[in-house]
Amino acid sequence: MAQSLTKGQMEAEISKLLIRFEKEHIGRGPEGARSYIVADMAVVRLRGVLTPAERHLARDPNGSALIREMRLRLVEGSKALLEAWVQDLTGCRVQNLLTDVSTRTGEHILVFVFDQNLEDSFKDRKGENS
Amino acid sequence: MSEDEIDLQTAIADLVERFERQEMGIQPTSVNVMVRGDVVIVHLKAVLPAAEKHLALTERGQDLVSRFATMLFRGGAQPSVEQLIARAMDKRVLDVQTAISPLTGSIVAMFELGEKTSE
Repeated sequence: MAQSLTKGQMEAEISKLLIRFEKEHIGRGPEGARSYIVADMAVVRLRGVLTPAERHLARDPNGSALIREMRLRLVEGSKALLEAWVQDLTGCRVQNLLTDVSTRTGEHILVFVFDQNLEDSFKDRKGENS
Repeated sequence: MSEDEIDLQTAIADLVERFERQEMGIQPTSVNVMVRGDVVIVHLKAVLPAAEKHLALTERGQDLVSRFATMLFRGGAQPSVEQLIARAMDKRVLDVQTAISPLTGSIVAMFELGEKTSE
């Protein structure tokens, strides 16, 4: 699939995939997603990942810590599946997945580190086409 | 069972179901409410998302799922349900105990009622 898409299209596909993952697997869909391919990484920003009840709970420091722990553990437990999905889409092996959640802004950041420079593969193709 | 009790059970079930759907993003499979004397029991069943089921495979994961669901329920649905019960039964809610199954996503909350508020 990676071969037939532009960089922008691939970024949009990664965003769609992450929204699907959150909805189907975590059980709570985000309000939106934005992805950026930078060198050998894909950075994904998921907006509005907290439910109204979680936002209420996040006002309490203990509640905020619990939400963060829960979210990170849920992703950690599903890491192999998510990495496989991203690998299928991009054609690149995921070497590492870094993730964090802000209970203040309700934003979830995921950084996929690949075994090769994904961004360069789009530049190479642009050169061939021109 | 009196008509008032049936109405109360329906109202509580609707309130809990609405909270779970709108505030938690979860569609419960069933909400059962039982009124027995000075005790109101709410039993909510929901399907756990795949990631939570996976997390609940370990003891530590089960503990986390339980704590998370308990805090969300206590901070969210419980105060509204407490108010509804107190108003409808015209009694103070003395205590609330909640039990959550991290394996099934089932929540049981028991509301213990005290003296009449109008007295």
